[in-house]
Amino acid sequence: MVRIKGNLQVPENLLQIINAISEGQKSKDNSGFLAGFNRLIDPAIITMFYGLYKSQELPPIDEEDAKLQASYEFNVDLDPYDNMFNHYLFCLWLNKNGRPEKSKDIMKYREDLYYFISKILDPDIYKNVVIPFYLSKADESEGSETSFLYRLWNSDSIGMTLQDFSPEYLAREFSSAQNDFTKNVIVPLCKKNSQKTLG
Amino acid sequence: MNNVHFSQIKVSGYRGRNFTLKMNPRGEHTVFIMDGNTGKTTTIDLLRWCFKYPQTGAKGWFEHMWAKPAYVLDHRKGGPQTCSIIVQFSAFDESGQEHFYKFSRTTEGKFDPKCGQVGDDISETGINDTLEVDYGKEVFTGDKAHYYLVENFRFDQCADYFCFDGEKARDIMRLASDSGKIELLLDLVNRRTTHPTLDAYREKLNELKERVLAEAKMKISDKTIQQSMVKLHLKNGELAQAKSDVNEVKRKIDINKLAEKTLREQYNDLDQHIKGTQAQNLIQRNKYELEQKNSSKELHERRLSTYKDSAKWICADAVAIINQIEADVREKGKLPEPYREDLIQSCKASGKCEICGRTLDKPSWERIEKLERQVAPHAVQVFLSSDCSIQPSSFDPKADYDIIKGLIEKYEDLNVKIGSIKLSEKDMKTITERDALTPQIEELMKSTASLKADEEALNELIRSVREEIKDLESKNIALAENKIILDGIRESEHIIDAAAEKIKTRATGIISQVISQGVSSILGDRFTARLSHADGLMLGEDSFYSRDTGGNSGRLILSYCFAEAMTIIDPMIVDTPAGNIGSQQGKLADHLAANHGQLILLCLPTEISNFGSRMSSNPIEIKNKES
Repeated sequence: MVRIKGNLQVPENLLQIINAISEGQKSKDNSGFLAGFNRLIDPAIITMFYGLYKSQELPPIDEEDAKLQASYEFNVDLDPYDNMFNHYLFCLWLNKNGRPEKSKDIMKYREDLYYFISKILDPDIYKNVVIPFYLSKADESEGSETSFLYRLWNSDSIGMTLQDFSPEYLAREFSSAQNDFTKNVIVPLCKKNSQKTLG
Repeated sequence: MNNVHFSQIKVSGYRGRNFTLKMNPRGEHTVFIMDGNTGKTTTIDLLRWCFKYPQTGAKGWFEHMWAKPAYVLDHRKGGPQTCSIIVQFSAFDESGQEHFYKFSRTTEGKFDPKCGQVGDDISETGINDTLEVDYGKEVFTGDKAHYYLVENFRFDQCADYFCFDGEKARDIMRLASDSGKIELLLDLVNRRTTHPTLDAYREKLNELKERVLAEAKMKISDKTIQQSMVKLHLKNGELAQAKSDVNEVKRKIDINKLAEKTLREQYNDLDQHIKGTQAQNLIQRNKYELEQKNSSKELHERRLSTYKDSAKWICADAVAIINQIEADVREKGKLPEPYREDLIQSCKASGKCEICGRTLDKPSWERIEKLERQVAPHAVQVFLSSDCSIQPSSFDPKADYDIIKGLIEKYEDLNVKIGSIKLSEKDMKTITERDALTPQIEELMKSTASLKADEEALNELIRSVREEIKDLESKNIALAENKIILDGIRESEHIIDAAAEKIKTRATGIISQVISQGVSSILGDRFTARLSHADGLMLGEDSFYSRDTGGNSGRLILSYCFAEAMTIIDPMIVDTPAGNIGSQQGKLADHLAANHGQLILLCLPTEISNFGSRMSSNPIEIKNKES
C-alpha cells in the first residue's frame, strides 16, 4: 500500500482540475462535471493509468526527482490502485526485457527484475518519479489532438453536444487505451509463457 | 281572405330552372320528388322574393341560401333573356265565396359578369308584376299587385315561414340558441302579433285630428289666432316628423347593434380559433421542452456519474492473466544455500564465509554481493507472491457513450421540432381577418353612439314640441269647443298604444303555447317549448328548459313549430323537409299533415319512404327542363 504524503509534482493542467473540483464541491448549486469526482486524487489516478496505457514506457527509476510545473499536497492512500498499477509496470518490464532463454542469462534477469521491482516499491521513488512521469505522459499532446489531461480540464462545462473533451468521450478513450495496453503488453506475455510451458 | 290553397307554380328561366309544380286539389297535400340541384331551394327563394318585395323594390334583393344578394337570371345564357314565375292560388272571402288569383313576375335582362355584385344586368323597368283576380275580373300591375297581396293575405310578413327550408330552420335555431338574439327573435314575433287594424285606427285618429284643426281654422277670423293655428298645424307636422325620425334612428341603432354583435361574434370565433391554435402550439412546445429538459438532466447526471465512478474505468479483465504471469515468474521451491539472504547477510556482517570459515578476500566479497543482487528482497518477494486484485467493474464506456449520443440526438431532434412549431399561413390569415374586424367594430360603436345622441336630441325636440303644442292648444280659444274631441283623440291614441302592447304580450303567450303543443305532438309529452321575453325560445325536457335541449333534431323540430306559429296562412311549402331530423321524421310528417290543409313538399328521393309517403300516395317527380 502506498500513501502519498506531502507535495506531489503534477502538471499545471492537473492542478487546474484539482482546483476546479475543490471549488465545484464547495458550491453545489452551479458546479461543473469535474465536481463529480469523489476525491481530489481521483483525476490523478486515472491520468496516471492513462499515461501508462498510452506511453507504454517504463519509468526512469534511476532518477531522483521529476521536474513538473506544479505540485499539490496530498495525504492519501492509493490502495488498491497502486497494487494494480505496479503489476501493470511489472508486466511492462517483462514485455520490454523478456525472460531468459538460456540458464546463463538467469542471473542477470533476476538482478534486473528484482532491482526494478524494489525501485517501484520504494514510496519515495513512486511519489517523486513514477507518478509524475506518467502524469506528464498523459499531458503530452498527440499530433493535432490536445493532451488527455488538458481535455479532462476542459470537460468541466459542456452543453448538449458531443465533444472530444466530454466525460463520456474521455472515458471511452481511456477504455480504448486500456484495451490496447492489455492487447499489446499483457496478452503477448501470456502467449510466451504458454509456449514456454509447452516447449 | 282565408283558406288559401296554392294550385300551381311555374318557374321559367330563373337561375336556369324550368318546371311547373301542379298541386293536388284542395284538401290534399302534394309531394314533389326533386333530386339535388333541380331547383327546390330556388323555388322557395323565388316565392319569398315575390311576396316580400314589390316590383320597384325587388331589384337586387333576391337571396339564395347564403348569397345576399344572389343572381336571379340564367347565368349560362348569353344575350337578352326573360324569366318568369307564375303563382296561382285561391282563397275564400268572408262570405264563403272562392276567388282565384294568378300572380306573375317577369324579369328581363342579360347576364353580364361585370354588372353589379352578381352579374344581373336588369334595367329599372326590367321587373314587372301582375296580379289577376278571378280570371281577369280585376287586374293589378306593378307595386299595386304586391300591395293587394299584402293587404289581403299579409304574404310579406310570413313568406319566410310558409316558404320554409333548412336555411330558415338554421336561422331560427341560431336565434333560439343565442341569448344575445332574444330581442331580434321577439321583434320577429312582435311583427307577427301587431294587428294591422291598430295601425289603421291610428291613421284614422290622425285624420280626425287634422280635420278638427282644419275646421277650427276655417271658423276663425282673427289674424293672430289664425297665425297661432298655422303655427299649431306646423308644430303638429314637426312632431310627426320628429316621431318618424326617432323611429328611423331607432331602426338604425338596432341595425348597428346587430351588425356590431355579428362582427363581435365573428371576432370572438376567429379569436377563439387563433387562441386554440396557439394553445395547441404552446402545449406541444411545452411537451417538447419538458422532454428536452429531461434529456438534459439525464445527460448531466450521466456525465457527473462518469467522473463519480472514475474508479470503475480501470478494468479488471486482465487481472487473471497478470496473476498467471506473476505465478510463472515467481521462483519456486527452496533456494540453494548460496542464495539464502540470511546467510549472505551473515557473511557480510562477519567478513567470513559462514560455510567454510575462510576470511573473505576481494573476489569473495564481489561474489557475495553479486549473489545478494540475485536474491529477491523481502518486499519484492511479497510483491511477487501477492495476487493483483481489483474490483470487477460493470462500467461500459462504449454503451455509456452511445446512450449520451442518443440523448444529444434526441435533444437536437426536439430542437428542430420546437423550431417547426409556428402558426400556419391559414392561421396568420385568420389573425389578419380578426384584426381587420376591430376598426369595423369601433366604427359601428362610434356610429351607434352618434345615433343615440341624435335619438336623445330628437326625443328632447319631441318633448319641447309637445309642450309648445299644449300651450298653443290651451291658448287657442277657437279650439276650446273642440278640446273635448282633441282630448278624446289623444286618449284614444294612448289606448291604442296600450292595446298594442297587451296584444303583443298575449299573442306571445299564445304563440308560445302553439309552439309547445307542436313540439309535444312531435317529440312526445316530455317535451315542451317556451317563448318568453326573458329567455327567448327554449325547448324543454321534463320541464327543464335550456338552449341545447333536444340536440340538433329536437331544435330543428322547434324551428318547424316556430315557423308554423309565425305563418299567417295555412299552406306550407317546404324544401327538403326531412333534412337531418333523424328518427323523428315520421312523427314530424304526421304532425304537419294533421295541422295543415295544404302541404307542398319539395323532397329529395331519399325523403319519400318515411316522410313524403305519409303526406301523399302519389308523389310527383319533377325534372328541370333545359330552356
